[in-house]
Amino acid sequence: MNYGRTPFALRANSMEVGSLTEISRTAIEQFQQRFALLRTEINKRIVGYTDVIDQVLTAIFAGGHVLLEGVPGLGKTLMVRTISQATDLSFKRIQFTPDLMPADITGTNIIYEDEHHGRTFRFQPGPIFANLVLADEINRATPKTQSSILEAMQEQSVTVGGKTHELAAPFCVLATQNPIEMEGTYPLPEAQVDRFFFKVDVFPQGEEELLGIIDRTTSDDEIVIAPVIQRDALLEMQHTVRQVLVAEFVQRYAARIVLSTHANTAYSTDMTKRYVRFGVSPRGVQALILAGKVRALLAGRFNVSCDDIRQVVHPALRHRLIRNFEAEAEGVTTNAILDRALAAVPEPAAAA
Amino acid sequence: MSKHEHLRASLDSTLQRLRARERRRTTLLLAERGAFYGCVAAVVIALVAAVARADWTPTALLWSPGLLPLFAMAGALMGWLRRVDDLNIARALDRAADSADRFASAVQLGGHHRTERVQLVLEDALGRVGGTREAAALPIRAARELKWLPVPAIVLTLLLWLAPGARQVAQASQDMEVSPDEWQALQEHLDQELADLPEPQTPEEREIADQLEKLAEMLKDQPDKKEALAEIARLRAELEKKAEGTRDVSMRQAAQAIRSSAALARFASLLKAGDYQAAAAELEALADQLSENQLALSAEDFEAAASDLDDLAKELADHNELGEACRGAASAASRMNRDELARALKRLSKSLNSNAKNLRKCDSLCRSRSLLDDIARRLSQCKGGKCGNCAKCGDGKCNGNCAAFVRNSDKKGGLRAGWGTASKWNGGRLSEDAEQRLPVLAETPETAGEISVTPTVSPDERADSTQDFKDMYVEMVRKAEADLELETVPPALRDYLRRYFVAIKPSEDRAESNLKTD
Repeated sequence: MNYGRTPFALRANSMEVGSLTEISRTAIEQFQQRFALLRTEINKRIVGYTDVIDQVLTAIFAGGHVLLEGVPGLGKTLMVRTISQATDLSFKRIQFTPDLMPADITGTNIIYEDEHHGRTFRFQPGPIFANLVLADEINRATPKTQSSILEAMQEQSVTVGGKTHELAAPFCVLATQNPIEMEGTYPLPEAQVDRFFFKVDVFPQGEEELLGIIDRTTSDDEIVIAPVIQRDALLEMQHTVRQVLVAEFVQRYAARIVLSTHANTAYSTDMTKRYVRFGVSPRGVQALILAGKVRALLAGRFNVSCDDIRQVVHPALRHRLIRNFEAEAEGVTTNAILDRALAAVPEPAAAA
Repeated sequence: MSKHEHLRASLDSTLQRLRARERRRTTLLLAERGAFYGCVAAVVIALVAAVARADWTPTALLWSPGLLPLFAMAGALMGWLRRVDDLNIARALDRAADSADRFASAVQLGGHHRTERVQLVLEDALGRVGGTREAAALPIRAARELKWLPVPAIVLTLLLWLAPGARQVAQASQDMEVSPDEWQALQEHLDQELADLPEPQTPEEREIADQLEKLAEMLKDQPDKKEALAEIARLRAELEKKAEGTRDVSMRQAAQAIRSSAALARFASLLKAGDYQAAAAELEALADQLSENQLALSAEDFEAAASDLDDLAKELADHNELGEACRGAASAASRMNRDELARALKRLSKSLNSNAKNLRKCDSLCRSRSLLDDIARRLSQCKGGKCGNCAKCGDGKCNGNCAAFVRNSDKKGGLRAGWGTASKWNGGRLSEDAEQRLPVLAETPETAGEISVTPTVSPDERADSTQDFKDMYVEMVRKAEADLELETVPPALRDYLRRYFVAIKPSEDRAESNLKTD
């Protein structure tokens, strides 16, 4: 059924309907090539972090936002900046501090004096008006400031002075968090964290990767990142992602995984019942399916498989699960709860 | 057909093959499981039966192994009827082809409104799984339970072997009805009897002789006892059919009536030998001698001759012509009239001559019938070398030579098989002086109750009885009365029995009937 849907590009308000292409083998091959090209370009500067880069790019192509969590100095900001350079997208970095105001993010109306010495209010867009926004250390700003960017993430528009300003597509927020410093921070409310498509854990790298970092960052060789994918091509890739079909049994599998994170459903696990305060919201299943579609395209398929869903469960759901006090006290992580859910929820018609 | 339809047809065809394979797989799997659980159920039932030692124990033990094939068939039927889940089999094919749910997605996306995209999925899926065989996707494996099947099977075998009820049932089914020694004795006896039979003179006698020889050949193969008795009964029925139309007169037996007359001694011996034409000639010669006064007969001779001829006439009561001639001769002899006697003897001779062929035929049939009856009796008395629970000698293997045995049954009493079927007995008169013959032990069903058998004659029916007939008669009547009191017998059959016992009653007590009637 069509359900009267509007093509994605019209919602994005940036492309002509007539220029949308139907998915085809050529489109898939193009998707794979562009993805690979992007990854290769990014890897010129960013050493290792293959999974992190793949997850970030997956989220971008799925039209979502990413929360990167890792200790300082791992290259999170550099990675985001490199991605912006490789994709020829407008990029803005917002360093979140406790004194940051909402207007510093969204922009504000300022009084403007014209040549006739008349004074009018003119909207001065904030840094949020970019394709790629790096919200650095988002947990350092006050909840009020956080909410301003979170509204933009959800609505893809900003309201200032009663007037709504649309954000240009593609719009992607890449936020970072430092898990070490807790003093003077304002952890994102759970409901707000839920708006991030992926939460990517960034870990320190190994020896070989460190050697690579040394080689690329401590010499006088400048690494130039060229834009390898245009904005329109990226939009087209996002459109292609949405065209991938998902069979009902895969949808059910994704839904059952999400339901298993709730304590009082037929698919609840023992860990869920013991350690979960609030389970994953429906945004979680959307993230699973969209991310699964990206993985399917990368594998050269026109369909999403159960394995695709399994591969994206952790980045898509780990931040949406709210643990209770017992879990925090015992050190039970959301990853552990999700591992148990994956083991307990059977694939549809798995036994033959 | 459009490309999309062609792809759908290919998908459906693949799915059909997978469904057929899955159905076969499930049928086999559940049949194997059924066999295992059937074996377990059989073990349980056999165990319960062996412990209970109830009346139904032997039956339960005998039928318990039948649960294995029954459960297996039930499992196979369930497997065949079980619904095949297309998603199951499609994903199995995907796993075998390592196609990442392509085929399963194609199966489920068949009805999607985006037909162009569905076509891409179909093409991709069929291209990927095309080279994968159904056997690789749905391998037929033995059920897990099958590896444990030997355990209950061995237990069941041991239970059936060791449980007493099972052994009895097995023994009952395996017990030989006729032991090899008994077959040997039977065959030797039949061969001897066949050798003693006179050479067949007519085609009919030849045919009868051939049939008896075929029977002898059949018995050499040691067939089933019931089959042998059935064959004997069939042959006897054929002989009875052949005997229709002939007067059933055993001249050889009738000749026994001639005992006292010296003049008729040669005539009697020729009759006993079955040479009726020579006997007729002898009578003719005797008549000539009487006519020509060449033979002197005293009053005692005439009296003896009259008595013998009268007895002969009684024996030949069923044969009008011969009986009439005999009576005439007896009457002439009683009047001591030589000429009249001569004429009567001539008439008798003529009658004997004219009936010689029939009498021979009758002799042949009687002889054959007697032989068949003898063989049937001997065969019925065979006990496979065992006597059972012998009440007299207590020996389980006394080879049936014990005087009597009693077998208990849990049902009501009845007559031992061996009295023949009442429906076949026409209530006709039996000869008082007929040689002792045990009734044919035909294929009659045994009824329940205390059963007793008293052998009343020696094993060779032609020898003298070891027990007086009067004593035997009284015992038989007593037992019959006792059984009739237990069993509900229709009045018509009771009448048969009454007439039978009246017919075989010893002559001095013929006026009274010992048998009570309703």
